[in-house]
Amino acid sequence: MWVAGVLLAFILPVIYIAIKEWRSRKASEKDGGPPRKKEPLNWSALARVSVILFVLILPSVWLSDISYSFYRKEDAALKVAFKLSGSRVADCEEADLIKKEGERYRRELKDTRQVKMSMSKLGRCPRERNPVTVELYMDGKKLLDKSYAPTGLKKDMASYVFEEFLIEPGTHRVEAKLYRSGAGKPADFSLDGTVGSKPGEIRVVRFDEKEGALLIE
Amino acid sequence: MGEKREFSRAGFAERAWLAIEGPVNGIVSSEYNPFYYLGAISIFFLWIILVTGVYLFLFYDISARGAYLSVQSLTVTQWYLGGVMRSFHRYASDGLIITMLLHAFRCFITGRYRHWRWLAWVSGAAMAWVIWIGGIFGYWMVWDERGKLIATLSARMLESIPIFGLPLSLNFARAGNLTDQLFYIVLFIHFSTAFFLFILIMLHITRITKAVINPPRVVAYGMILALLALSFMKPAISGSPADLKRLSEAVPFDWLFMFIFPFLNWVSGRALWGFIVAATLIFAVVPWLGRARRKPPAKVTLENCTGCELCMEDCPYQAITMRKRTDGMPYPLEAVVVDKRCASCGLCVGACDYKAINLPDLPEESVKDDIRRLVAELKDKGEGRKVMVFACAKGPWIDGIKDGKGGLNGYDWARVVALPCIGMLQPSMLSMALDKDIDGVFIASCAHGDCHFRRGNDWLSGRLAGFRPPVVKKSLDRSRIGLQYLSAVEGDAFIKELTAFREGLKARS
Repeated sequence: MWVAGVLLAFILPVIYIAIKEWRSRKASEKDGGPPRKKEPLNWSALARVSVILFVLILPSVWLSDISYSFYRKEDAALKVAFKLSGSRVADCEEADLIKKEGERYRRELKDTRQVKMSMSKLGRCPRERNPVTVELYMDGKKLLDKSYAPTGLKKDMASYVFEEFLIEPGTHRVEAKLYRSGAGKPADFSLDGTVGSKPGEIRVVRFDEKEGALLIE
Repeated sequence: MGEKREFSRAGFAERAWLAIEGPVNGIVSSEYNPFYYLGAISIFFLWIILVTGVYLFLFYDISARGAYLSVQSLTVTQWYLGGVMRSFHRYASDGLIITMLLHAFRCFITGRYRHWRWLAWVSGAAMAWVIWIGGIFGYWMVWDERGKLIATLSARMLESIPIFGLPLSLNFARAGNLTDQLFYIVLFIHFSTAFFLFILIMLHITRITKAVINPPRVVAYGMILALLALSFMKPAISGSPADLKRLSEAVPFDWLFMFIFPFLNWVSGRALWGFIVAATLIFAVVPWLGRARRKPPAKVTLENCTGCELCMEDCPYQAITMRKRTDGMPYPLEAVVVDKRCASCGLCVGACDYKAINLPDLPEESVKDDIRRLVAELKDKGEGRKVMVFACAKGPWIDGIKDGKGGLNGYDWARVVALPCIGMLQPSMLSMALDKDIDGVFIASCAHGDCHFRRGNDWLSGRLAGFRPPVVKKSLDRSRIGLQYLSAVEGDAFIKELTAFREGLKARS
């Protein structure tokens, strides 16, 4: 199988080029007239150019062999990573609004036959969400206290939380509090547990939507 | 008329660079010197990257689980073709960076980036961005430990730009977060860079007449052979598969593409962006920094212009356009010079047989006056073979060019007429010099394939060989004309060749 591949990939093109060059040389010899636009291949120049180009690209082999590490060998990491929607800033029953507007629409359609759905009324329902705030403590020391704004032009979409902390390997007590209901409200979710990590290991604090809880993975 | 043009010697850095290139001419001849085709070689590397990339794409599994396995399978089980294609793709990308940097450096060191070349320089800066971005995303696609580290670091940088609301790093936080969509996006970005590059190449060469976009056949084959040798010597392989539960350990890094990331160890992503943007801007405005005084552009003498278009065809920077006749003369067209694009090289003067275009600081008549004066001086020198030299000011730096008087110390039998580019040498100037008392004309052009103004030496060879108008008269004895291609650092070779030429003349008499 691979013999056929090698044949297809390299030997056939090389044979093709060699025959083409040979024919071109023969043709130019036969003509003997003015110089042809396509001169026969200068094989010795080709060999020399190949070597020069090889030397020119050779540094890339060396330059792609030098190792690099962004992290220290003895580092471990604790990541806080999840996506969560904060609660709505103002309570607004969007479904109820749609229902009411629908009823009005049907009623007026019946009476006047010239009615329009008022989208602006629906738009009045505020959709903005609270930011999600995360507090994280490790061995009693505060690592993180940060609010994550909701995304979207109307600030009505989820907040995305991502932080990375390099930690000493070993066992640590991790406490986390998650606020999604706005300032001054108590934490909506909390976590208090121990996490053990070895060098190079990554542990992740995340929010599991199914379980509705903060977890350490 | 203002002051007559004075020529200046190539700077130290330029001469040092030319001294490096010179020996390569000795090995492969200037016709195939890769340093003269760095731009074309870069484009050829791009073609190789495109072709091999399409092949690799056929086997690439665009998914979080399959990406690594598909690349690894192609590399291991199909080493004879897929593996080699991958190595070609990889080394051609590295080669592209090397030749691109050399090309930029060479243009800078030889002063080929100012004035009429600014668009090529600025578009070159944009191309460098696209090439680096394409390469970095290419490494993501392998999704091995190196790919993971590069993805992590580049995501960190992207997140530091305020316009990216979602943290990209969230995708790599845990295996469950990694989606196939991300690989589709990465593949799209990687592919689209090729599209942008070809658009930028068009912009890069848009003001260049007959741009060299393909290297000579020998060089192209040489590139393939060199890549093939590298591919077998050290095939491109993947590292261990990306493990999102562990921090990336030390991985072999492609420093040609990833040199920027280690700075993240010391500065924030935002600071690094600031540095990159500042460096790019400084690079892009280089053509306007410390701007050298520009020579006055060529001027058309409309009453002599026949609208033959030869000047337009020979102009290397598309600085001459033709428009409908405005003076009522019985010719359909007239030449117009776009001053901002004019390099004042005199190539158009060499192409015009009707004295219709001139350099204000070096008019055709003043060159011809110099020829007459120097021919008369040589005639007075009595016995011995006498040689008139036409020298490109960008070629060997010799006495006649230095003082502008045309004398050559120690060689009383020769006189030198310097031209800004040897392409300015008109057939009528040659005829004038080959006066009955002058035994030969020696033309010292700049190195073949390395005309400072582009193509001047090619156009002259064409005129001498009789296939590029205005052609040199058939009646001129070609054995009395010598042509040598020499760079600015080959002054000694110039004297040697000139003496040998004169000796040859003597032998024939």
